[in-house]
Amino acid sequence: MTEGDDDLLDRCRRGDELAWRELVTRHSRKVFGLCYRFSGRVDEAEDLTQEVFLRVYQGLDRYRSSAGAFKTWLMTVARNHAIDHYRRRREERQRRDDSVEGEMELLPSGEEGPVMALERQEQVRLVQRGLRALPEDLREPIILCDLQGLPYDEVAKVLELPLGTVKSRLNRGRLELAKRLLAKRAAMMGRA
Amino acid sequence: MECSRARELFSDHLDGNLDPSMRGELHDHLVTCRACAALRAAFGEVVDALRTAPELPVPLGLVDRVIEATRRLGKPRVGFRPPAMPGWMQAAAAVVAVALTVGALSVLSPDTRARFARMKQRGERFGIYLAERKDRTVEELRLLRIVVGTALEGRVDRVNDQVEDYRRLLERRRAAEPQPGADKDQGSPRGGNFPNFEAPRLVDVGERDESARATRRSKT
Repeated sequence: MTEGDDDLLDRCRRGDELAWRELVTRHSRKVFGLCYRFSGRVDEAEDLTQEVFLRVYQGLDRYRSSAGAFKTWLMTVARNHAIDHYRRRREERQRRDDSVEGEMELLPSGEEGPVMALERQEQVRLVQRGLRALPEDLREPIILCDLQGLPYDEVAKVLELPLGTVKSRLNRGRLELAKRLLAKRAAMMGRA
Repeated sequence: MECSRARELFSDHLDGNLDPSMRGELHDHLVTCRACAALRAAFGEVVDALRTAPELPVPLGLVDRVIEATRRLGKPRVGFRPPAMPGWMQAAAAVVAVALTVGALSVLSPDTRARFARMKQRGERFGIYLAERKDRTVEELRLLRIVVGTALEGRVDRVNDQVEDYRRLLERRRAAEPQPGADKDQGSPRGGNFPNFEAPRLVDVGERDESARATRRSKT
């Protein structure tokens, strides 16, 4: 039977490295995915993931299972760290927004046929590129709400914005992506 | 409905959060405006692509690097943590507290007990009054937030639309609410009848403008 996070945490606090490895393996995908969404680069996302787990490791005694699941706490730490980093690196990021260096290849889903999977991959890639080109204020709510699946009120709390502003920015960001998608399609049809 | 207004409603439309009349207005617009209809369809595709985007694979060796970095930190710091009180102990403490309160009240004089009963009654009525006022205040604050939020985002031209939508929503809600008189007739404590508190009236924007115009007319 799989050991629960809380049991693994108890073992971690006693210095059990195997338990810590199990926790990192279990949650690294989510943390890495979040960091990649914010940074847009594999190398930066790897560094951020490492920093998040180091913070968590150093703060293990602050976590209380009565306050919520470990995964929720971990993702809150990861989100805050990724957002801080994202805002700190704003200027540098703007300079290389056009570059696709370090972009990650998306894996096709096994449930779709090859043609559909390719179309879908292309659509997702267009949307992801559009997302990277969005202004920061429109991009953050989309990452948290649509990619990370947080409810609106949680996004408002994380970004410290009124709920109405979050909804308005989310709508404007999605509209911008939809316009880019339509423009890209029109350009492709024009070429064909 | 104008295109810009229709596009502001796309997220609410997608989430199914529009009330029927607004949804109807948007549908009417989408039937007649091809540009908005195409944009609405692309909007849905974008959100779908984002929400179902595949999870990214973890790069090889990342877990090992994390473990190596934490190994250099040594054992995690573990400070003193007060043990949490078990549930049964919390329940027992609550029962003891209630028993002590009841015991203390039972040894008080009848006069003091009557005073406590009056205070309790006033407290309950005050609670009801606060609950009712809270609803109205929340509505007014929501309206204010919409106006300020829209203005701050530099879309002053949209303020009137937002206020108009919200006002219509409030009117529909008010029409659906039971009349306060009906409550009083049934002896219900509802109706904002807490003594020494004058219930503030939610002034309709149109009504207020009309009364201001009437005052100006009477002065001239």
